[in-house]
Amino acid sequence: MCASSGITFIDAIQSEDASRYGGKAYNLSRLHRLGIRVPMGFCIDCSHFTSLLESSPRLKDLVDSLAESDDPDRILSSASELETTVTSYSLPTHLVDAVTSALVELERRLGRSGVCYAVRSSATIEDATSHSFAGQGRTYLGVREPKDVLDSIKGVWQSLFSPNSVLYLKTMGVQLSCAKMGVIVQEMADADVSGVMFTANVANQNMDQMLIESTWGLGEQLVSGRVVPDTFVLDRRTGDIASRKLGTKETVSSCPAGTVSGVTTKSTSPKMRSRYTLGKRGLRALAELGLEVERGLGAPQDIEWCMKDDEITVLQSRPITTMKRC
Amino acid sequence: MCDTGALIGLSPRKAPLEVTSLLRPAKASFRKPSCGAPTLREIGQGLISLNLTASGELRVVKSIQDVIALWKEGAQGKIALVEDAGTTTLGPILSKLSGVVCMSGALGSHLAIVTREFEIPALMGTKLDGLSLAELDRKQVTIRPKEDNVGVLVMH
Repeated sequence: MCASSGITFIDAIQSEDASRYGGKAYNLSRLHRLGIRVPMGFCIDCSHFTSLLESSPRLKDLVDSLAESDDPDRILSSASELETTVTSYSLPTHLVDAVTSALVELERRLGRSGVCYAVRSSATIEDATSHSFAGQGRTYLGVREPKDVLDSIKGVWQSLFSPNSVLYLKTMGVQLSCAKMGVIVQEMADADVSGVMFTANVANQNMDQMLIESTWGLGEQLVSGRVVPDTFVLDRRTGDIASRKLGTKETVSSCPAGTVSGVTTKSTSPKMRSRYTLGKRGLRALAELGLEVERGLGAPQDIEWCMKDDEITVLQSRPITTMKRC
Repeated sequence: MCDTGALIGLSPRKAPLEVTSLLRPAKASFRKPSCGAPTLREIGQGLISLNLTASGELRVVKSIQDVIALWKEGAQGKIALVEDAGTTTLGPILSKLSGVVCMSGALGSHLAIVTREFEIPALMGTKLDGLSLAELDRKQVTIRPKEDNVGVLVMH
């Protein structure tokens, strides 16, 4: 894929491209180079987002209004109008063509058709060392049709201007005009178990411990806080379990086979709720992977992962932003 | 190069005034009540996102409208209770709150990650001991760490 189209596959992103593709995409490329399994995919660079903003004077006015305002009603009103305006934006033909070609190339690389995609945010201010932007950018899972991929790209752009995102950035002291949104389109990773791993214990600031949370199926229910997952505290040195707490894991999400985009969520059976999602072997494998990622990226990490047939895939990794008390 | 200075009325990463910092809970608040001392009752338990103690008036937040109303009223030092961490609607007032109680989620949820960035504790996946949310609204409460990433909610 030609970088001049503003689309590059994850394995081709270089360190000088970090500001073009956003923090999440750049970190995924680093993981790939470390030999860690990440879902294959491509990234749409921030220039397309900038083109959107420059496509209409009204959009620029709205962004300026959001950036300058401290009035909640005005922020809500501007954010709402911005969202509507972006929805009605027609993607330029050259971008539609480039995304369509990239989807074909992705299927060729994967060696199969009918691939299910995840479309994810990768803002320039995302997954940074001082602020995570966690949960502010939108993610679309189980996207199947090229048309839905294109709509999801617009949805990800929109999410930078949601009232929550705008106010998060303001409160973190980041100017809105500095934030640009890249987009990642990846093969959707299927999962038996998914979770989050902190390579240091962020709750008690203990650098000698790791913290792992896990739930059945896809991890979206966990990171969005809709389920109470299993929680494990491990000794970093030995990988032994220091403590564990069984979560209720009320619901489980999966990406069903078929042609309809989206994810289905159903109640977890009582038997699965009462079982831990990870045993000693799985925890040890995760801990080893976590330390490998930490060594490779040079700092304690907050890692989203999933596991299918005992094979672990890293969905994203970002520096832990809150260990400064150590 | 962008200027990332403070914006009007919104101080970046402002530490809430009522948070008793460090990794030690404020034990003085939890002595056995004596004559004249306020009665403290443990009413819930969850996973604590950061080992800090926080006290304040609890407010049940169910919508973005509740958030905006609390913002206008002044969220400083209050503790917000949300049922679902998925909405992350607390973003606008997180820098003002002294703590968060969430009925779902855990330490890896986005809400827990973001509250840590604002240096306030969030009690995640909280189980309440029989009290309804209506009974808790506008009551003085304290979030405090217990052990092994567990924290408790105490009503004054």
